Amino acid sequence: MNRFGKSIDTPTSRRNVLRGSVLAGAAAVTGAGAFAMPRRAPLRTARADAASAHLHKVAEQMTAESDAKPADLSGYTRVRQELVAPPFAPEHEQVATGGPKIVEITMDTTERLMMVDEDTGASIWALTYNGSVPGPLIICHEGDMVELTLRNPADSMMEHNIDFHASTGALGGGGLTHVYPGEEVVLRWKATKAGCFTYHCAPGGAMIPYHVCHGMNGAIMVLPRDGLKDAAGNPLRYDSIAYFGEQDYYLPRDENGDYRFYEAAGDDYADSLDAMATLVPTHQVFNGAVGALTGDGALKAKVGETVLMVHNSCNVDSRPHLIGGHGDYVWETSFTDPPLTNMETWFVRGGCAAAAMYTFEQPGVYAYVNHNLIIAALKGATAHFVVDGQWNNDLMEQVVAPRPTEA
Amino acid sequence: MPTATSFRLAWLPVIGVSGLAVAVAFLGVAALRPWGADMTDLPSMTPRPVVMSDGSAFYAQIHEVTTGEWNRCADAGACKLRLRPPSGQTDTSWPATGLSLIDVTEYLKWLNETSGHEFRLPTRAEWRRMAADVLPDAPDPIFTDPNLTWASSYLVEGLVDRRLRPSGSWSESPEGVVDLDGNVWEWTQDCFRGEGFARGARCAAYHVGGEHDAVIPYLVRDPARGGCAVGSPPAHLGFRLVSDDPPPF
Repeated sequence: MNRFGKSIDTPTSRRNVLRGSVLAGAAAVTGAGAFAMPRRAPLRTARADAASAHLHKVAEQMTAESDAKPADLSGYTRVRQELVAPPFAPEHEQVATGGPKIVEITMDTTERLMMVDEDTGASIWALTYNGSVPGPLIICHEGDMVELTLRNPADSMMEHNIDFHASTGALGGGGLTHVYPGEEVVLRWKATKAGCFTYHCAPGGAMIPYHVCHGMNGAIMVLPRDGLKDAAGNPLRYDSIAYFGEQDYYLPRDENGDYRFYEAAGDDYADSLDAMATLVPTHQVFNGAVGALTGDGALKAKVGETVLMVHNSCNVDSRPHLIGGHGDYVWETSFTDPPLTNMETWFVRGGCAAAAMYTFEQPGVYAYVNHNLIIAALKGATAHFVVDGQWNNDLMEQVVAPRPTEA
Repeated sequence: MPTATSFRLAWLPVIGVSGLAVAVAFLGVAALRPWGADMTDLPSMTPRPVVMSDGSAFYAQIHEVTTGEWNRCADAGACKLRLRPPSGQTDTSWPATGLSLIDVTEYLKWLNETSGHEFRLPTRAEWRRMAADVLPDAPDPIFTDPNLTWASSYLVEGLVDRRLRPSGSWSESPEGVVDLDGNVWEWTQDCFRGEGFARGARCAAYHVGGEHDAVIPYLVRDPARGGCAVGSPPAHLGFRLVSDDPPPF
């Protein structure tokens, strides 16, 4: 069978449609009235509906044309994971019980106007998974399968897909998950590597950083089946998870330096590419907006509690530091390598997620920052923990309060 | 908490009103403007004084200084910053914000020199008196241990919306002073000191008046939310003036 035959014969292959939509977007931005909405003909929606309605059939057909063996799903138990908005984590087991699971999840590719910085009114038409930046944290165990239903709402402006760094093949699933407005797709992949991994939208070309820098990324944590361990193999357990997504935004400005406002998702496309090409973010924030995790959004903990801080940074390098605390155990890469211990600052490679475990020993307010402090203080990458408990004078005490000095 | 110690800033260039200027002002001869003074620059003050518990009284500017008022100082070349209302707004009756104490001092010096009047920043006590009726109740501290005073005023609820609004969008006090609450914090002339500070030491930070207590280094224009600043920093920094003399001027 000619593996290229289909795309030559089919007038609207995925690739063609993708190119078309990029061009249409750029043309619309430059004001070409011919491309006024709706950008896709109704025919497209009808096709999308038809495709969605017969997903199961389509899958069968692909299997029939393939030489590949069908996946062996015997021994797997299906479970549904209800995803929750960051900074929280879905219900999960730290140590897997029973045999391997097929973890069913659903994500909607929602395009929504989000405030990035209240002080300046800077906003963005965020491209999201399930409406949040970052996308929700997914948790499974090594050897489990993840079965994602990815739905693109009919009123979306753009196509979306997903590339799981934790998965193997087909561009991380990106090649098999392109969904246009009004379409859904189901992808199943096996989690063979334990660790924290980023996932992100990757529709192709310049659309990849465009989507990623509009918030379309998140993390999956693949735990070892017997849970986290220190270098000696002793179990490590946490009381809660704090899930941070570090997001670099490149928001276009007008001639006065004010942030531009756009009427719809995608309208900022050409301006955004120019801003992104500078490589200098206008904002670099945790969980979508300046101050999202401070004040009334601050994280809560108690002395003696152990928190696992999962940090996703899909695009830029980051160096998280917990001001007033430490990383007792840090997994910068995989969970199969022994954790680094007693870290002051650790490293999250851009295109990566990492985990750090800390047990609070002192009450107060802790700032979790990117310790490029310019980014922390001026670009927004600061979160706060408010920790209750008894002060420990052995660990620290103000021996003399500020008083006059002759020095 | 350290007690609030009020004193007039040594370096605030207060306000050397010459005898001639005073004479001109008292005569009310607007035509005599020896230094190009424009009486339209004068701030609108409350007709009624704000009376302190010790019986002293002062008059307060009704609104925070606006971008329009500020830019007349910029036009005169006396204020380095030129301000704009928020993006998309053309009206100039927005509070002038993004101002350090140094910026504010430029304005104060210019206004007093051109008008021949003596305006000043309020003291912290005056500011609190002005705002007593319109401020939300101070929340209980979230920590009480002395080693946690630095964190005790951290606010996890009741934080005001940070988006700037036009002048007059917030409350009005019984004396007719508006916008003491809201999301603009106002510079006072009171240095932040511990108890028994060494006299003659420089002042590095000042109290600002707003919905919660805050202390801001004199250089800061935009109290960024982040880093080690674990308090609940003000959203915007602006100011209003007070005068010991009654209007009209």
